[in-house]
Amino acid sequence: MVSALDGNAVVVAGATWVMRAVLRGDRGDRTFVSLARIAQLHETAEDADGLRIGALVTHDALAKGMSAVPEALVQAAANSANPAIRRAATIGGNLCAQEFRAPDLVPALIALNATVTLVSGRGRETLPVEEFVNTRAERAPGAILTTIHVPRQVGRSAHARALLRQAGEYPVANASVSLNLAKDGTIDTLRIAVGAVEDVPRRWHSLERALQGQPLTASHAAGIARDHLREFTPRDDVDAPGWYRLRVLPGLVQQLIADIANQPQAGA
Amino acid sequence: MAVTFTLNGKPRSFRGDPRTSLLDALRHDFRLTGAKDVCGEGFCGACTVQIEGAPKASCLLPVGALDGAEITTIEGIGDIETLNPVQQAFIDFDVVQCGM
Repeated sequence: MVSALDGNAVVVAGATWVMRAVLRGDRGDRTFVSLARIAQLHETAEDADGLRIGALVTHDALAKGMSAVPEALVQAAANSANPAIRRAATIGGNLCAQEFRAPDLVPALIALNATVTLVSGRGRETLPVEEFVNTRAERAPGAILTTIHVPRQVGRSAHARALLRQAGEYPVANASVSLNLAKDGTIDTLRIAVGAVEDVPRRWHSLERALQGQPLTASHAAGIARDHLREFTPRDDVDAPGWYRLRVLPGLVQQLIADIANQPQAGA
Repeated sequence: MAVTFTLNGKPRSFRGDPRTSLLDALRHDFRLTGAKDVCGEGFCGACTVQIEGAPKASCLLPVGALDGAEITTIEGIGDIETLNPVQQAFIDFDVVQCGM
């Protein structure tokens, strides 16, 4: 149905983004194809490989749900928007609302090395979240994101967000980390993803390389982050200019590492 | 397409555009004006209703996705003889809701 309507249909999950289309100056006349009544898309299941999350699982359910949801995803879901929005907004919507520049779940999913599964008339396709968010604009209408798979985590993870006020608005920057410690307590492997700074969330590769082998010390990590801001081309928008988004990033790294250092050892 | 749901304990149906926000349907079709149309983007909370007992922003809910839902508005949480404790507190403490 979505394919047949050829760009005039919009797939609707929690609807919190699409219902504001007219406020943003976007088209308000597109046909809604609601997924709300497909029961499987509301389900979350744990298996040996990790966690399978249906596209219609809400932020609220992720934040309060299964213990197997990694900490970065819990924190991203629990602090996004406001309580009423979190009860409606979904993980699939967060991934598919491509004009939304400040999603919280997307950087968390990139840091956690998650994949998405798309289903269309041509079959099924599974790809990494970062690849999906970079190619979604060019994809033909008709593929529906059904499931998110978060691999079983062996290390710890965290999410942090910078807001101009304490709550209830989009972050000017956010960041997620997933990391494993070496036996001597230094950082072994890690993935860091940054959102809201550029148009699409992405990994911070140079910082990942620089932090490998470093001690798990928040202020030290923030200092290293300051040397790797050139990797970004930050966006100017009404909430904050690009330079400001970069300015807050080392502080977010400091929060992430402090949070990780305070978490109990996995399996402890 | 008719959408059928329970509104303040009574069965109701809506036959308009299913993309209509629940807030607009409540105010324009069901004449329930207790939920207010203020920010229109789920931020201010003035349009809050309960869906299956959970508070949600009615301005962002398309009616078409609410088939079979149980909806409670501010008009449905008490009556003039037996006010909800929150309603009674509004009277007791001269509460004013500015509405942004």
